Order: sequence, then structure tokens, then C-alpha cells
Amino acid sequence: MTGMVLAVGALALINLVYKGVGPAVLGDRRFPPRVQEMIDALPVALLAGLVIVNLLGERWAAVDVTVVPGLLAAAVAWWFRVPQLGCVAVAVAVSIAVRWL
Amino acid sequence: MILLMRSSERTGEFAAGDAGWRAGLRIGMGLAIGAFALAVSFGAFAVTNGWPAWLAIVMSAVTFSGSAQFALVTAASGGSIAAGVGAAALINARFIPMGAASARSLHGGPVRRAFEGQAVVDGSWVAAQNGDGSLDRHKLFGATLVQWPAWIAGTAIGALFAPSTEFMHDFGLDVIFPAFFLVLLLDALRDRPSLVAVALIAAVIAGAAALVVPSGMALLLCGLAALLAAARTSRRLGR
Repeated sequence: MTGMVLAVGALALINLVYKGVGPAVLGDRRFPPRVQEMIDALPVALLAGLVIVNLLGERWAAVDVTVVPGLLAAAVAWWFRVPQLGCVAVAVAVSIAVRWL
Repeated sequence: MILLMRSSERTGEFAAGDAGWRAGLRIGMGLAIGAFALAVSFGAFAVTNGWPAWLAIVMSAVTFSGSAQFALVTAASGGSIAAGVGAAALINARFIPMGAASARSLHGGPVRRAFEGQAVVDGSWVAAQNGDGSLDRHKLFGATLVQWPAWIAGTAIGALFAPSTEFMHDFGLDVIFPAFFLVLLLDALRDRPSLVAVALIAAVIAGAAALVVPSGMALLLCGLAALLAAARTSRRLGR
């Protein structure tokens, strides 16, 4: 039990340092154009990764084809300018419907 | 006159701040639903693996980092808590570049900036991007402020009531996160269509990496795709 508590404390401290060190040290400094371009591209890379990782799961253990029609429906809803939460609701509804079939 | 101009500039700043908070809270609502669903499964997972419910809830409150928490619990149940902390530390290493990229958009001295940097979590950080390399800090705060209690509440429900995975599956709760991230991705690509190649390469990297490393590590590796954008800039500057 003590080990578990220490592990939680250690992870909390690591997170605190990770998130705080950049802002504290760098301040207002600007990056060179190449670095800035990479930083600008990071959100898109991270989002694409989040979609795939959430879809597949670790070791692809969460692969579920019934999610795919839901995501496609969300993309179609997005194309028709449906708000973000509406797109998610469409994805959930379509996935539930496919699972019931 | 100068005073009036300054006052109107400040009013404009407050108005922009309010709009940022509102947008952040709105986006945070969507992210919070996904975070809540994932946290329910984390709470149930932790208790099933021998963690006391109270400690799982405390972990969510003080670390607020999904994949790292899953990694810690997984490794600890395999007998090695130190390895779990190491894996979680590697998984969360992506917060270093994300925090660094946020630095100039945050306010105050080093301590305050470090404190404001604690609001950086995946979904909020992405949603708060202005598209010009800067970040809307109010949007970041708003989006994180909604997700954090949802993450804790979800963990508590999962740890105390342990709903079945069938329940999550039948009600489509597992679809919320990927769908929300997909919509955010499509929004980002609408603003920056030149980054489609980066997204595709990141998706391939994530798919391949997810087979062999934990999710957080796979996400860290996705950052390699962003090097493509830097390489294109290098080529442009070299001309």
C-alpha cells in the first residue's frame, strides 16, 4: 500500500515538473521558424494519434469495427457544419444502432 | 484620450478573455463527457487490479493523465511499481514540448507560468491553439476546468460501482473520445489543410506503435510526424 501511495505521489510530482518546466524556463522567448513550424504541426499529429490510439487500444486490443460507421457519420455531420457535440452524438447514436443490428 | 484608449484596449482584452473562457468551457463539456466515460473504465480497472478505491480517486485528482494512470496500474499489478512509474513518466513526456510550446502564451513570472502550465492536457491544449503558434490561455483554462472534475467523478463512479464493459459498449460510451478527437482533427485541418500529410503520417505511426508500446508512448512517437512540417520549412528557408 505504501508503495502505491508513493507511486501516485511520484507521478503527480513528475507531471508537475513536466508541465511547469517549459513555461517557467522559456518565458516569452520565440522559437526559430523550423521549431515553430514543428510546434504548430504538433496538435494535428497528436489529434490523429489520439483518434487511432483510441480506436485501436493498446496492442490493438480495443479494435471494434462497429465504431467505424459511427466515426464516418461524425465526419459527415462535420462536413454539414453540425456543431462538435452534435457530431459526437451522431457518432454514438450510429454506433449504438450498428451494435443493435 | 490616452487613458480612454487604454481603457478601451483593456475592455477589449477582458471581452476576448470572456470569449476564450466561454469557448473553453463549451469545448471542455464535450471533452469532459469523453473523459468521464474513460475515467469510469479507469476506476473499475484500478479496483479490479487491487488498488483501493480512495487511492484511484486521489490518483485521478493529483495526476489527471489517463494513459499514464492505466500504465501505472497495469505495471503495478504485474509486481513492479517502480517500472510503472517509469512507464508513466515516459508516457507523459509529451507534456514537456507541449508546455514549452505554451510558454509565451502564458502570463506572469516563472512560478505563475509554471502554475498556469498545469492546465495543459491533450484535448484542451489542442483546442486552445490559435493556429498561428500562439495559444488562447483562457480557452485552455476553461476546457481543463470542466474536464478535471469529470475525470475525478468518473473515476469515483468506476471505482465504487465498477460498471461492466458491456454497459460502456452498449451505450456507445467508448465512441465518445475517438469521435470528439476526430472532429477536433477535422476542424484543425480545415484551418491548416497543408497539414493533412502530417496527420496521415501520425496516424500510421500511431497504428504501428500501438501494436508494440503503451498508448502514451505511441502518442509521443506521433510527434515525429510534426518533423515533416519542420523539414518543409527548412526546405522553404533554404531556397
